[in-house]
Amino acid sequence: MSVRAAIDGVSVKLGSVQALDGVTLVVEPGTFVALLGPSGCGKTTTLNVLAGFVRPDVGVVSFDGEDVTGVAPHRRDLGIVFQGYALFPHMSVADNVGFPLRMRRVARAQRGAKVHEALALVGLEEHARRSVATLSGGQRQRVALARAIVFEPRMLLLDEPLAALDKQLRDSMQLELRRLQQRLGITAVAVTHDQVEALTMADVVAVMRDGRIEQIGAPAEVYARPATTFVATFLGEANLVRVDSGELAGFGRIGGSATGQAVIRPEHATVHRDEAPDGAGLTAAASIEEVSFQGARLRARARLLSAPDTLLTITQPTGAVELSLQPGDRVTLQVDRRDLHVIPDAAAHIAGEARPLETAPDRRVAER
Amino acid sequence: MNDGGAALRTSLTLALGPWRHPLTLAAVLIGLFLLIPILIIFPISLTRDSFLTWPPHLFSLRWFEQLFETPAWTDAISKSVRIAVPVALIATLIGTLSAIGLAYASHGRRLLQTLFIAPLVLPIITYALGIYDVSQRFDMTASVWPVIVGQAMLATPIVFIVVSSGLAGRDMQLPYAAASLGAPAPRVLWHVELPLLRASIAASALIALAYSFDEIIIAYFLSPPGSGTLPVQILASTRETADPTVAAASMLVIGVTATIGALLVLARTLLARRSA
Repeated sequence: MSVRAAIDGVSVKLGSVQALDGVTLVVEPGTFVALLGPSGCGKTTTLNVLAGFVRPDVGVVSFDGEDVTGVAPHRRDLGIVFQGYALFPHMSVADNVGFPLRMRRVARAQRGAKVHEALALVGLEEHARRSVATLSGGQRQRVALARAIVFEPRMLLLDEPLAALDKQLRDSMQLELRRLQQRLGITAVAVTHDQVEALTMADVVAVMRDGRIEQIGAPAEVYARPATTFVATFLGEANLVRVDSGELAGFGRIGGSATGQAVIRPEHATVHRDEAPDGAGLTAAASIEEVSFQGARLRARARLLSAPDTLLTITQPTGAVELSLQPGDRVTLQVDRRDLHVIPDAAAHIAGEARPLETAPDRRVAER
Repeated sequence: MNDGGAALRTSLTLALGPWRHPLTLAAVLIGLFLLIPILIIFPISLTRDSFLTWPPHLFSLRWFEQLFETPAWTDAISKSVRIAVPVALIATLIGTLSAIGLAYASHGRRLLQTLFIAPLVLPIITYALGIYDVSQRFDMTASVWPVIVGQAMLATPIVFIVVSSGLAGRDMQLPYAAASLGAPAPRVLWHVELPLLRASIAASALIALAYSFDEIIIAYFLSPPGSGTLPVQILASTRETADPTVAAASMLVIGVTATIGALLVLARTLLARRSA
């Protein structure tokens, strides 16, 4: 149930659009890879290439070293959870889950046992006889999942698996999906535009843009050390602050002679009323321009006094700042050197969208 | 959807204001105007008189007896049935397969779609003449097959349109899902596409049946003299006699069509209830 899947130098043109441009991706056995990116970045096309729905113009797809580029979808033995679940409306829950077994001509008795087992795995064994039309969104999601794993496929593909669920259900399903994938030890590839989802579920995150993979790595690694300003701003929120020859705008020397963009995550800057309590870390005087209360966190925009072009977004746990912040307040911002990551200008140029001396736009995708 | 309907209705009512009542009245009048021919035929078919007269003297079933006992009429009825059933079968088969085939087509879909619908705007007289000519060449003028082929050709677009709309309404991911779960194309068709289209296919078959039962131009041109379908016999008989059997025959045609209409409504209601 765990295949090593590889895409090697795959390019796909859909109509006049270059959907994939020389994508190479290796999915190690038993790992969970999340393809993350804005719409139109090629993540769904990558999934379709793995599934066999889209045939690459150039490049090779292989499972465990075996070339499957020209193999039809129904022979690939992949369990796919579709965005809208794609449950067969004319079949009961049990018939939906039993469908892949029926297609494999598994004997009826054996089929029943396996269907029961798969439904038990997602906690729906009591709903076997129900019509799929009577199920809630979360239940449909589970049926789709049971149907995708019941035949012990070589790999699990998930296309925006949780996009249709409301936020609370989505949060719990993320963990549940992850647990299930680890329990089965199955190789999985998920497509998502939701960065939290990707960071929560995956062993490996591949950030895609314009038909290419911009960066691939462990979630914590990609979050802490984004290779480009695009990755920095797409994965979480980031303040990009100009660095010139080791000089961080507003904060002073950071050592070295790097020139580029420093990534300062909003949660990595602490706010102090007066001087910073100890000399450690980089500090800069700033004035608060905007404050919003978000429950557990306080979110503020601060302009550096010595570099007035630089506007930082900062979030603080509520209560961390002794007095509540007001627009116009003078404060000291403190950043730990270890939290600082500089993207050299060469890399920023690849990203093409670097905007020096300006806070990166908030790229979090709106809730649907 | 019901809520949307209610909101639309409220907004329309408000927008129309006092014009609402005259509009409703006009709609009722138009409806009545369309119904009047049927309302007139019905009592005439139950007349005791020997002629088509108005007002009729009620009540007698003798013209219905006449309809089911005179060989000319019973022949026409049986011929109508023998033509309508194969027409419905052929049109349903071709229309359904072409609709599904076109849904999968990558090139020329638009052009082919237009071609499949084209028979609807064909000048039927010209087409009938053409078939007549062809059937003469094959020496088939005495057979029912030219009528069947001609009517099937004209009924196919109806099936095509109904099934295509059924296809457009389904979840586009279902065939992909079936393929990913191990179904090769023929089994996708058999286990997923066709079962989902059951209602559309059944509905279009019934409409094709009703169409053939009612069709006259093709039937008139291509039927051998003296042995037409029911509509042809009705037309011939109104020319020869003023015999009220015609009214009874008309009621039969209306009855068949109405029954099919009722079946369609029933099927829709049942389906809607099941999927709700």
